[in-house]
Amino acid sequence: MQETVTNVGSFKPLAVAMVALGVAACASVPAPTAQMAVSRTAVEDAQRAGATEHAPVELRDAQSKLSEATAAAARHDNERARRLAEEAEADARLAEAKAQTAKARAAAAELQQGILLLRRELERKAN
Amino acid sequence: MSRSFAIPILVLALAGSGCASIPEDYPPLANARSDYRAAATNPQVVELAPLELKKAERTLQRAEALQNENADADRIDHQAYLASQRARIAQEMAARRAAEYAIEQADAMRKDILLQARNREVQTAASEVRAARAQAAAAEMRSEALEARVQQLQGALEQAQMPETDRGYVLTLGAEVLFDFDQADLKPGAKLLIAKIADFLREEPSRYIAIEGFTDNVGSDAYNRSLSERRARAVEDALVAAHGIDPSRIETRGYGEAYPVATNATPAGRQLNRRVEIVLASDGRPIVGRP
Repeated sequence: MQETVTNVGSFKPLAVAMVALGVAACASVPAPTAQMAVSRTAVEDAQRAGATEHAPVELRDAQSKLSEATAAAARHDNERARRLAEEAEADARLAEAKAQTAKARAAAAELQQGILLLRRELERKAN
Repeated sequence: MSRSFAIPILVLALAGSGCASIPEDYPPLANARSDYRAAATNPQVVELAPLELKKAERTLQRAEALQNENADADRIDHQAYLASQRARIAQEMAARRAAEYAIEQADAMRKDILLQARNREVQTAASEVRAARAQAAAAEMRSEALEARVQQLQGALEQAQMPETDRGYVLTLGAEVLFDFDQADLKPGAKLLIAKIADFLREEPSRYIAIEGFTDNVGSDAYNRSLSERRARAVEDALVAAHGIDPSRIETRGYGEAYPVATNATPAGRQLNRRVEIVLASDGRPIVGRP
């Protein structure tokens, strides 16, 4: 049942588990397979959105956290792997949003510039 | 608070486990709070990215709950980091949606501008068509009026009496047919009349002619003589310049108010006195002066 643990709503069952198991949390936490997949997809989404160009710092953070998470999972440091994967997902989503914002802003500016030129052109024609 | 009853149990369970208590202004949490506050106080975020903002808020609450529970710094840092990133995501989403809204507006505005321009063009074209039609109608009216005038003049010429006197044939033309009031330039309509006279002179190349101007008695004698002289000369000039009539065949005189043909006491009489007489001498004979 703890396979379904993700970044949302994980607090209570996890806390209960920790209470039950004392300090030795690591061993009991399952590998964050689903979270890793979600994070990987988020990184890919960000790249597709143009984050390489528009949000290189956030994208690099996401990528390095994702590979750290993979390494941690390989060491069965599942708790650390889950946290890194969650952070990688957040970084990737931020990178994607930034890229999309940048593109939307550029498009808006271009359109507004186009309107300006159009107005000027029409005024010139009218005179 | 909305935190579950599990918290006190946890606090009890972890009490005395040696965890250092996390201070209220713990930097990662303080950062998360300020990032969240920046998003939550941005009206654009509240309006355009409410779900993302809510997610950031829940994550921040989770981080604060962990602090209250004296949880490990790692776990608090992690949630605080997620809260910060989610607050930033909310900001970005709001900015992106605002930009998309601007795109929609700009697009609508562009279409509106083009539509207005097209309407203006159509209106301009329509008013040009209207102006052209009005012009054509006016031109038609003018040409009709001109035609009527020509016919009137032609009629006047045909009906003009050319009584033969001892000086020759005399063609009398009312001054108003040839000239505007007090002017010595031929009216456009008079040209046709002059052309007719020129035709006649060409057909009868051995006739001499006299062109004599007369006025009524209004105004000074000197002025009237001058005006009638200039008018007679205008007729001569037209015959010579426009129709190639030999000037040596033509004499001009301005008699002013002399030789009235009617009384100057009435407007109708004065109108008759204002005239130009064209005297066509008998074939081959010189012009005989007035007695």
